[in-house]
Amino acid sequence: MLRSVDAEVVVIGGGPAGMAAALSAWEWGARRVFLLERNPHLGGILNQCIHPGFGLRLFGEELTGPEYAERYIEALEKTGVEVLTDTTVLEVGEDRRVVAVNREGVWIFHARTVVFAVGCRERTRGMIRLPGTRPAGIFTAGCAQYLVNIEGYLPGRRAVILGSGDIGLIMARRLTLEGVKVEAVVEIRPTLSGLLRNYVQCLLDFRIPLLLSHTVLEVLGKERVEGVVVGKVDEKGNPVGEKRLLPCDTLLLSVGLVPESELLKKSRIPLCPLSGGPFVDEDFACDVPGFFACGNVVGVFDLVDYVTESALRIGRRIGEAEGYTPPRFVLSPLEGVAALFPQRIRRGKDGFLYVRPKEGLKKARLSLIHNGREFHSVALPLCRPGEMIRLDLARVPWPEEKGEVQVVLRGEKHVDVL
Amino acid sequence: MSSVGKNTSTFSEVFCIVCPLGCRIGVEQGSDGLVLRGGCPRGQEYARQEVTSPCRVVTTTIRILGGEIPRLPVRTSAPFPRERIFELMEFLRTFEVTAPVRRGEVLVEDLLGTGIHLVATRTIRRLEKEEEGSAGA
Amino acid sequence: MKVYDVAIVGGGVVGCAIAWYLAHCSLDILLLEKQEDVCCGVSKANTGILHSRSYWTPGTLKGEVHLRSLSWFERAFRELGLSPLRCGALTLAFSREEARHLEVLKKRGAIAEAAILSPKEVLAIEPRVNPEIHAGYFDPETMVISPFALTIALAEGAALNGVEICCGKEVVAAEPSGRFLRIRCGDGTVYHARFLVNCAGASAVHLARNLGDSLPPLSFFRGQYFVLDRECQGFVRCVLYPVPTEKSKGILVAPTPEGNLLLGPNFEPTQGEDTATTRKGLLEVERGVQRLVPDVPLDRVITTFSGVRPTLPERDFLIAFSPSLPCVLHLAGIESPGLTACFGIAEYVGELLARRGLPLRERNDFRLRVPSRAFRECSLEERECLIREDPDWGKIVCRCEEVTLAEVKRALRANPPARTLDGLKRRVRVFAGRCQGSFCGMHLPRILENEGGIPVHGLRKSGPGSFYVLRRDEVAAYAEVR
Repeated sequence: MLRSVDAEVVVIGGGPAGMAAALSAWEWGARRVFLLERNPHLGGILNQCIHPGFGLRLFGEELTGPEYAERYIEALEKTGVEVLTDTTVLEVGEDRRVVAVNREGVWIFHARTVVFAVGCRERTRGMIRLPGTRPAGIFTAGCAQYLVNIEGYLPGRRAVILGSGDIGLIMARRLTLEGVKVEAVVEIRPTLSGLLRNYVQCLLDFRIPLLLSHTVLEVLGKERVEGVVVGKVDEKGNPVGEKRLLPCDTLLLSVGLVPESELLKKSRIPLCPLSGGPFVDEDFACDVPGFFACGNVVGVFDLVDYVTESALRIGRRIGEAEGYTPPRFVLSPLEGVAALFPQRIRRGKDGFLYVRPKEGLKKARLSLIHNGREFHSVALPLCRPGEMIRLDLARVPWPEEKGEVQVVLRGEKHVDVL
Repeated sequence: MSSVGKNTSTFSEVFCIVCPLGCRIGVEQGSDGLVLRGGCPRGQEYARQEVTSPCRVVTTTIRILGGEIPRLPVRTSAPFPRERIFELMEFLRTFEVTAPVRRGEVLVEDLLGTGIHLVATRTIRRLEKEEEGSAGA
Repeated sequence: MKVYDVAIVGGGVVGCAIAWYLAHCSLDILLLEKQEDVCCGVSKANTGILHSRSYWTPGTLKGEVHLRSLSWFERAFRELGLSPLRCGALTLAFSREEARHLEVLKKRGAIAEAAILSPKEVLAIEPRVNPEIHAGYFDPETMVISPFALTIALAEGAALNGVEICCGKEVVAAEPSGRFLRIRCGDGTVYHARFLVNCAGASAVHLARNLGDSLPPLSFFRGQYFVLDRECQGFVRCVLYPVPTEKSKGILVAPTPEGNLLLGPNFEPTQGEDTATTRKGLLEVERGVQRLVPDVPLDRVITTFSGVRPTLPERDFLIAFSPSLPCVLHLAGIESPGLTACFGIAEYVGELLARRGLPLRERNDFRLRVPSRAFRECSLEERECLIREDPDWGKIVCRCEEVTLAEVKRALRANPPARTLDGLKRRVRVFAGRCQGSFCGMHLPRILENEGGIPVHGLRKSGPGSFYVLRRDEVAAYAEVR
């Protein structure tokens, strides 16, 4: 007999997004709320992010990942939200039937509302088609971070890190502190991908070379990595000029994150081709009524504070049971934008718009255009791909007439000289 | 270990990391003290510290016995002198605690005589059954 | 002193098939594999296609054993508990000249339901095929199987019936010792057997030389592959072949029983067992498959790999007794259709050994292999029952392929057991999904230590030296790093 459970809200994923969504659902009156987490503990990715940098906006303090997570874990304990850990969701039907499995058996939740807070996954070696042999010693940076911080293992003795995003930079420092020699951080773009402060504290502090406009061209080593070939590349990523062999026994890949959209695909939730996650409105409701999505499954947030604030909006929406109304505006990026969410604006009176710039710009201008007319613009002295722009939707003078809005970000090219 | 960029005996350039602008602040050894160029007051304060005695908050994990998980994440209670960080790591390598530990608990006071403490950043409960123990890693 | 009837050297698909075949008789069989598990050499990296009669090569030994093997299929799959993908194949011709070759295939196959189709008919079955084709030959009898699923099933079936499988044993010498052969391994272990069958794959000629025989040299040709995400299942229904050349069967598109799509292989000379992938080789595969299926979803690649074909100058199999040692049988040059022909090769080898005095008395207590169930393939009710019996079925270890802890534990206790991460991958599919181990790889070291008795410092991906992670105290002290 399969366990059949009626639920008002089922939240899938117990990281910061899921915890905030479950909390807010409870706060706004929902009483049969389930939070399903596949790991033994709540906290999601925060548990392995033992470095500070979380909570500055929401709490005014720089907390480490576990400290930030515990605040929400403790808040949840005070509610009647039922938390099931070590529980994996296998499928979610279009009728909001959630099938999950744990050591007790198979569970079928019949939910009025489903919230996807399943985060994202790392891009792999296969996805970047990195040629060479296939030895042991190649890890995605997040997997290595888990192994180091949660399990206490070390990935190797001598590492090269591909990708200068924050996770790669943080791991460069982490490994160095643990006695692993980090030979270089290799970045295919001509600019740093992560935050400047991480460049200072993770690379400069330890004199770890940053090779810009370079990539790893080949992996060498029979049973275990013995070295990687790195070389300079042009804007298209084609090798130009000299190649060099960097001896190492470990390669960490920090080459991008993609939303964990497998469950959504099976439930036929419309996905945005730019982000890979679902289309959402400013309350983080999906295009299909009864479904919400928050956190990194929507798109990669750079601050967990934004994840929390966006997930907290969901409860109110569920509580108010507004039902499904078509959005007033549909946003699309026209120029200069690598990602933006939400892509649908329902009311435009509250909530925030998050925009990630495609490249570094100074004296920039973010413009919103409707019917060929720029109806709002924001001046930005400086913007970088590693830092999101956050717009207060209440401050935007939305036009009367519904329709499509193009988002344009223009300015003078800016490159941090490091 | 130096911060960045041009660095002669009298001139250093510091990347300010206090706010996202990331200004570059020049620090020069003048006849009566340091002369700072660029940045805002907070940034200049940071730059001053960077060239005299750079400090960093250190976060790492230590071994915990008898807990639900084998490693306890920890932090220094204040930015730690950068040139002594590896010394700190060496000390922490052999240091271990026993569960239960509460988030915020001070595990070590006055690390290496700096007056800075070691603080737990996660609550780890004691594991119930003996057989499923984590012997630490 | 134990004397085995037959010592089989090489735990690839051929060695395991011979072991399994001979295990049907009352014999003491020993299988010696140089690497740490069966299926670690040539057998692990190929397309896994079971070529139908249309693709046999008349007038060759490989052709003969191919045909013999085909008649073994139904019995073997039943006894081994295997279900290959019965998807059929379409060979696509892009010119009138190529189309003439399709006639040859049809004639050769003499398969009633096979047919030469017009472009329109081909597109009706496979709408994604390049519309510029001239014709297509549809062969319903081609199948696809996972080469390691087959090899491991053969090994398990053999072990179930008394075959002793010893891994990590590299045979370095064998000399007559009285009426038997004294077989010596690199680590000093010695075995005695009446017969030795050399099916050491890429090392077969090298081993023969160590035994005092000079076989023709092996040339190695590498083939590179893309593996596409399971989401692409259904993109094509059958195996898609181009018209073959003298060199090889060409760059294919093949659906797999697990739901992935395999693209490849190309054909390029390589040194020994060099199975690196290269930018150039992968591009060649891309172009090759785009010719067959213009919009093949190359943005859904989850991994790439490559295998080698050990070939003899005549491009035929060599299965013959040693000229110097009458009880030593050599097999070399087993390239395509080696996988398909494995049963036929085993039968042929059995006959040869029988002629030299090996008594083949079929036993009446031969045990059939019961296939291991995969959680992924079970219904919800079946899953509930499994979890009730053993809660470890409710703990998902690999989220991409939905593999549970129970299945991992089972693989660790199988015979032959999984001892490495690759061994686990080939048995239960961890590390084989779209995340390529970035999720399960986090948890497996602890699981293997607790459940598999494999301490972290002993956990390897594959061969010696392929350690996965290190314990903290194994990394140099800070002083050296600083």
